[in-house]
Amino acid sequence: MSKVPIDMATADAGERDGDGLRVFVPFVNEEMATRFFTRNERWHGYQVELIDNRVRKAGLSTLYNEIIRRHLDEDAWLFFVHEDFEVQGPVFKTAGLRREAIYGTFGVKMQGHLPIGHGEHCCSRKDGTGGIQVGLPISAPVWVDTLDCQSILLHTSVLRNHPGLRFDEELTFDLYAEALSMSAQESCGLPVFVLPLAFQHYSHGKVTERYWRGLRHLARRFPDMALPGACSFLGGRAAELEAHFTYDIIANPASERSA
Amino acid sequence: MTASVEALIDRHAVISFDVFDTLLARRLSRPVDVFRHIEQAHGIADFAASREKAEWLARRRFGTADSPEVLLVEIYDVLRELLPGLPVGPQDELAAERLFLYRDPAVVALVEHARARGKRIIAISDMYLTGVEIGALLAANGIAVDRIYASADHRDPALGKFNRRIYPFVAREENVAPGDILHFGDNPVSDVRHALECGVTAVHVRSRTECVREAGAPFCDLNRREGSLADSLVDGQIAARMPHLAPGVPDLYLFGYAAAGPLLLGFCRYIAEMAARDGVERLTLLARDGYIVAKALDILELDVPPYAVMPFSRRLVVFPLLKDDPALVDRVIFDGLPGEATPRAFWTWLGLDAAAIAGHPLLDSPMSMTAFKAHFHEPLATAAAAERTLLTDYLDGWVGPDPAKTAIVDVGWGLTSFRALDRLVSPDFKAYFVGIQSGGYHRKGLSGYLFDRGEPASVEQILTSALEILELVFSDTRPAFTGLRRIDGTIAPAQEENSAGDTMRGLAVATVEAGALDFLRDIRDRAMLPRADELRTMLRDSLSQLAAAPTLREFAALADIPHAPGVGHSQWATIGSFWSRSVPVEALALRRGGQLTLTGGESSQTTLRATVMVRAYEAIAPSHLRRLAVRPDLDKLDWRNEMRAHPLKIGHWLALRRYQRRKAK
Repeated sequence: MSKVPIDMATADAGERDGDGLRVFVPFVNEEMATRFFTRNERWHGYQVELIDNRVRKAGLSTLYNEIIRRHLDEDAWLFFVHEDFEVQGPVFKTAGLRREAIYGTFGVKMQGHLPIGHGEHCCSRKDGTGGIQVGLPISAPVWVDTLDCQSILLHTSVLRNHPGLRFDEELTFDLYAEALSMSAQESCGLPVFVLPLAFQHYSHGKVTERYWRGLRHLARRFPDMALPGACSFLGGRAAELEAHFTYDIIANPASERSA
Repeated sequence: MTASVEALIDRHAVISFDVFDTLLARRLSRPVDVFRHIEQAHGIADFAASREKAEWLARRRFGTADSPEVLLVEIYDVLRELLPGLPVGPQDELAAERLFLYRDPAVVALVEHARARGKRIIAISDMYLTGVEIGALLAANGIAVDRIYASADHRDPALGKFNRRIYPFVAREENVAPGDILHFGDNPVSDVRHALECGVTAVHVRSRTECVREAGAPFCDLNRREGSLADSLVDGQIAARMPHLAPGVPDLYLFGYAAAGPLLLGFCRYIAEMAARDGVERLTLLARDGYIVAKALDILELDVPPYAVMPFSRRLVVFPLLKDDPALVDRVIFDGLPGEATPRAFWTWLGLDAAAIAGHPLLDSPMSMTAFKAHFHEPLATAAAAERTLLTDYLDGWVGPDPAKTAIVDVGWGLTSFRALDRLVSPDFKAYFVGIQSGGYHRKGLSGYLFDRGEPASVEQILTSALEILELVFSDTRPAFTGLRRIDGTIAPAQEENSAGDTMRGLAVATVEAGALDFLRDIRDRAMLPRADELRTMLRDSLSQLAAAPTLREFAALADIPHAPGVGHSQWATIGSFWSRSVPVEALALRRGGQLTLTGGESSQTTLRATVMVRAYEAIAPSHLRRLAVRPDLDKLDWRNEMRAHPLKIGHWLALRRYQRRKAK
């Protein structure tokens, strides 16, 4: 395995020097995507591409991999974002970020036996109600064990250097960011970071049968791993972590699980 | 070393040892706590977790499935990505390792035996350290081997114990058949199974931590939890010493080593921290609690102001206030005496000069406490007034000219003695206690270590149910102080005579003290390593665990120790008679893996006592002597009468005879 030398991006995010930030937003809710990206002045000056997924209804991991294939030969930072992700502060700078790493805006790492979220933000219902603050605030990039799917930032060079590092298309709407984080670490030894960003995620929901299927898939794919995710432990040895801590969050309440 | 191991060594040409957890052990229960130490020592947030993550990532980045070994420098390459601006490097980690590593005497004895037989000695290690780095660590611990085989030196092709390949390689390099190699190691797979599969004779060496865990020795698991560097360090120290293995060691010694020692370490660190914060220039340690604190400070050599033990007691400071605060004297002094006795006995318990009431017609007439106070009001008041005058001068000498620069150290609880003290000297001095109970006396400048007026409430509640255990830690074998006397112009406190109960308790106290001071001597060089807050949290947890859910053997070790709650040691009971009321039988022995499980409620202590088979206290005093020592009518007994009444209870009347003859001398 080749070791890629550290090369720092020299330009700020808004600059057009070949390492600029390209933002990709697949959507099924046009109003939300427009409000949070097209009309959000925080994104003005950035290359934001809204991808209409209403008819095709493709899995996000499939769409993301298509985007990667399209841009693989460029030198760019690819930022994959959910339509319900509203940036409320200055967008992070990519200058100084290591290319040989995976980034996001919310992730989880173990602290002792506890999974701790990093990347404080408001998580609310689609209509903005019921907002709760989630995650520890950060002021600089912080390494985590896994990222949440809401946003993922990658440089095309890391994707070129690691051809196996792609989104898992078995995981259509859940857990693909977690799978990418696990794959990056397990197969490539790449670190995973959360970047500081003020945002709101309009995504309250509950884990579905699709999520549990995804968990089983991850357990088969990474039989020797045990890492925390945003809603549950992940990997074939997740039960070892579960022995010390049980997730009991709005999206995955313990009471419903045990019932 | 057993003969069979010696014979094995004799039959092999090359004797091989694993390095970590075999030749070298760590004074930590978890090796990764070396990282936690670096985190705290260098103030690097999240270092420990990042270091573990960096190694995990480095093995995947620089290693392969076939050859997962990495070098420490590679781990630090990744670590610098996780923690940009990292101020430490591999050399700092090796320095930290050296701080905790020590040669395992049991394994080194094997090395020395093999060396004496002219055998070739080698070390084989699967580790991110190179042979040179491992050799330096071994040399620093006085271990010399003829060659070191480290997996980090053989990454291409990958040779390690983990994949078995290093064993045939070693055999070739040593120019012997695999069967001529005898290997000792702690890993049952890589050190034993893989070696055996390669034809190498292998012996499994259990780590010291495992040995302590498997022994199930009392008190030794109190600090065993996955919490902090403090837990790990104390637990690791117990594993390093393995106090339970010393022949003839009573369980009370283990209590001293594993519970009292850490408590003294924490309390002394607290005293040093508070004294520095408060700008204190002298420490006055109140007797008798202060004796053991002074010994602990002597051993630990912490940065504290000059200290001295001040002869002191509740009796000494409260009784002189008979006129100022009779209610306090009633509560602290008289309520602790028997309800009925002769005035002579009352007078003796109060530690007063018998000459003051000599010739009184009622001197030997049994009467109630109330009647005693009425009939002897005058001599009591005169004695108290005389002592009060002496006491003021006496205390001024100890508190010094600037009370604000003085701190008093005491065990604490309700602080009634302190309330009295504040009436006698300027209440400007600071005071540091092991614990201050809610509802007790309080003023600014008083602070408690384990609990402080209900903070934390749960700790106070649990520890209050077993204060006698904490008092045992801070006890001393010397007699208690009673009144003050002026002898040749010098004020000197008088001491009461030790009773049989005192003597019996003294045996326990000396045993506990020996264990506690041994712990402090052993950990002295690393006494400042754990964070003070972590140390306190550990002590709160471990002592609460002991108080609320002792194992049967722990309860038995402590329960029979005599304890005199009142002034003048006029009445004796046992620690168990106070403690057992708060410990449900169901709670005993329910402690598992650092978790405290409390079940059930009040249960028959008779059942409990019947089930307690191991009475460790018997190791230092036979049962008839212990029973005798706490009898309230001891002085009324005559051994001849007891012999006639109970001719078959030979131990009983023999002990009584011995006691009475010794007392007569």
